[in-house]
Amino acid sequence: MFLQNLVNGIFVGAMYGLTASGLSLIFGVLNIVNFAHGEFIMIGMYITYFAGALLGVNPILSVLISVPVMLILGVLVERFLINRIINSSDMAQIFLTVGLGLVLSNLALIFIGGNYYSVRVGYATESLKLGSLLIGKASFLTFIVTVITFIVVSMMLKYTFIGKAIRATSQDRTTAQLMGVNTGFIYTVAFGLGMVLVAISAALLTIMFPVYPNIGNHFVVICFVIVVLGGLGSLPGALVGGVIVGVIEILCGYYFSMGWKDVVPFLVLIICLLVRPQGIFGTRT
Amino acid sequence: MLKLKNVDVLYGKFMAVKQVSINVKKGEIVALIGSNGAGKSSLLKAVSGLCSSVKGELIFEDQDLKSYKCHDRVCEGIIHVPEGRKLFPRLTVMENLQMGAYSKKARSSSKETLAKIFQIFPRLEERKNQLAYSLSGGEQQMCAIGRGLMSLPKLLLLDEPSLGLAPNLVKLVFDTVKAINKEGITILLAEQNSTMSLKYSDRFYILESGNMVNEQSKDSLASDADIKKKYFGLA
Amino acid sequence: MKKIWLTVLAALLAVSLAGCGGSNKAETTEGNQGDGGGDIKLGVILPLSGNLALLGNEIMDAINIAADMKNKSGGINGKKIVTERADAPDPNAGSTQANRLVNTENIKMLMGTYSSGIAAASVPVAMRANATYVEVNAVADEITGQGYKYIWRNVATASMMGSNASKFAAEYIAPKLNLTPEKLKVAIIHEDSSWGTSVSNGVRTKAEEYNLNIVCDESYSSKSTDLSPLILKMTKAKPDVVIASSYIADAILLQKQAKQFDFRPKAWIGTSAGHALGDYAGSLGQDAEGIFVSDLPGIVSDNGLDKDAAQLKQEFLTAWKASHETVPSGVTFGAFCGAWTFFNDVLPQCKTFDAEEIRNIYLGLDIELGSLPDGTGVKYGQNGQNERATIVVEQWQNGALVAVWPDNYAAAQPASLPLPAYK
Repeated sequence: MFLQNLVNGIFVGAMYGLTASGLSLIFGVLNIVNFAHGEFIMIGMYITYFAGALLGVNPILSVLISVPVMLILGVLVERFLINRIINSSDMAQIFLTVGLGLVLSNLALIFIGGNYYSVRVGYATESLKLGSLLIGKASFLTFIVTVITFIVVSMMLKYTFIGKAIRATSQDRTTAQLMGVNTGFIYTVAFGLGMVLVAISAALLTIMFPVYPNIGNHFVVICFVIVVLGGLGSLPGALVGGVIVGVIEILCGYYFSMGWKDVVPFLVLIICLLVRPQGIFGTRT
Repeated sequence: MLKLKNVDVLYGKFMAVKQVSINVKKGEIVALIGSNGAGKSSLLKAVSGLCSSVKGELIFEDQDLKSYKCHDRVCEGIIHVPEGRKLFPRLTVMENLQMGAYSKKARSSSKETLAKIFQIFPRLEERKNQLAYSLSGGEQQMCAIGRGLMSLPKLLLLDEPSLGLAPNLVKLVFDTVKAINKEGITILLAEQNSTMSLKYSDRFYILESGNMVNEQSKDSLASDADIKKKYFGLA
Repeated sequence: MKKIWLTVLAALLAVSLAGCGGSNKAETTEGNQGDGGGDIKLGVILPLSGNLALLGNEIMDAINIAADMKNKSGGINGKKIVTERADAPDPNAGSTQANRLVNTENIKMLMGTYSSGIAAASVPVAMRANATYVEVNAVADEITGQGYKYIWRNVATASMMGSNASKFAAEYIAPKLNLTPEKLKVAIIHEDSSWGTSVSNGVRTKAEEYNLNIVCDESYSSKSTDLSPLILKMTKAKPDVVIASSYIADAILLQKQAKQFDFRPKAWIGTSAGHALGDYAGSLGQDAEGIFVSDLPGIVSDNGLDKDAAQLKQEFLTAWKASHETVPSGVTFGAFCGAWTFFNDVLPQCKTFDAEEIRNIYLGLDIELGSLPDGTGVKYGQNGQNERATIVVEQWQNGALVAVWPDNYAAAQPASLPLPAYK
């Protein structure tokens, strides 16, 4: 049973990590906490759902639709909204992103309605048997996609020219400008990339969770915990933070109490903030 | 090459530079001298485009600089090596240098430039895979200058290159600056270390709380005992 | 340019907020009557936007249908009933809206509220202003447990919903499985908000009364993103019956993960809420088949109704189907019946319409079980709780929720007991 719980925890953690990665990337580069993150997840899930319901597209393949749509949405949101408050006070940034989230969830309520929609795919409830170990196909798939996504994005940030510029901008935006980096463009790219990560994670979430206008609320709190725990702006931090939270949650839920399961991540976070305020992979500023 | 006429630099309502006019000719090393807060850095930022609230005329090679954004000025050949080096701490030395060659023009010939820079700063080649924050102060300054050179600049703006360095390193840095200048790169230097600046520059301007006090060439200084005493501590 | 943007943003905000309601406009269900002075105004506080909007709006429709039907047959002694909708997506809004209705609009008759949390905020405001409050769906026990004089709830309480599930397990499931109640292993799981907690208290108390063997008793957050530890705990405890009090997202997740880990009890009983929603079956398809739901009665067999009630049910369903594709759920039926009793049996006797008069009328009502379309009757206790509220057990059969227990309400026989193994 311990092994089963551990495996479940790692799978859940990987899902958390992927879900939080977009938030982390956007924070790292733009230095903006995107409080509309949950609502972007919601939009991604709706795209996956409708791709399945109207076109018969499998949730995994729906990324072919949701990634470009979310990328364009991200670019537009960045160009026309985020761009305006990038150098404003924290308060203005909070107001804009929180307000954007409210607008998006209410628009969904008006135009799509409050129903709970689910895609129905067989593998959502099927498992692979490894001895006595049961591995949910959906969880395994999520895990694989998460790992691939993290590797691809990390490689891109590490080795491509634009990736280096993104990292440079996130470390010191003023100096990046002095080196001739058009930081406005980098912000747009980073925000768009963040939305791509959101689209991928949303497609995977749709396998297990119903989508409705406020579904984002289920994930967004844990995303914030993970991003702070892993180190604001750090992608590996998001993955490691996610797995830590996932494993602790599941083990606590099984061996201690389900009621405590959702409190424990916060306890871990508080302890982490006391011991290492910058997060596991964060840098002190 | 660079002409500033009656330039004001504002931070909100605070005026950091008032009515300053300077002139830098091709191939010169020109120093801006003054104490901390005199407005030297602000003036450099006005040239590189980091300060957006700038009044007056800024002319670079007969073009109005104010119509160029900060990152476009790099393409035009102006590079600013900021005070405190400002390396990207979690990028390697190599990546830092590559970031210097961000503009398209510089990118295409970055390999040759890099080889040249490693010639000037052999230490950087030894440390090329190290993260920048782990370098010593002197190495960081070399890296910062090297990164600036990667952009193939016509005009190099150097802000306090000697800050926080041991005296032998300060000399090394200024020697390098001189060498770079010999390669044909014009240099505008902001320094508190007036003695060194005096020694290495062709001309200098003295700034005091945002105002320009004096323009001097090395030769004319000899006859101005007042200035000599006040700013250079020479009797 | 900036101004243009501000305007666009403001417009967007306005659109989205309009969607959230908060609209102060009085809405009559059949156009404006012109002579507003003769109308009887009723404030309706419901979550019409936000999380709970889906059922909130259905309940609003049910109340309006009741008002419509009464108005068409001559109204209240010639006066029209006019509903004033007040959107309260959360408790804060609930108390604000109640305040507005009773103190600003001077409406002394309120109805609502669907969510117990919102009711807990809006009811005290009405009580302080000596206004009548007709609660047609919120089930938390506390609502009628505070000693308020002017609260009237026609539907059952949360603990009744829970205890009925245990009763069903002990009296129906145990014998069907050839087990004595003491041998029947039960898992009690519930989401940990006030609703789930009070329902599960009912489950637990009744289960202990029947001496059921409780092998697992766990609470969890309805926002949980993973419930596998809970499923694995149950796998270990091997209950025959699971009694679950869940909202919808968690109810769906529970079922999906149960299948993932091949956990299949002999029976699964949900208590209203998530398990009773059409989207539950829509999301799970075949996997929802055979799940029991202890719920406010929805569409019950006509066997349990008298002739008038059966006819009223048909009228309501006809009006409902004109504007809805889904069948009304138990909470919606409860809203219709609560509103109908108020319009048909209480208001016509009123002269002053003040709360004290209405209290006397309510306490005097004595309507037999089966006299209302959902099979309930009317007999109020001093605390304002309808003692003839009933709970039925329904089951998902072929994608529809049908009443299966007790016998007199059953529209079909319980099936899939024990639940078949997963395919």
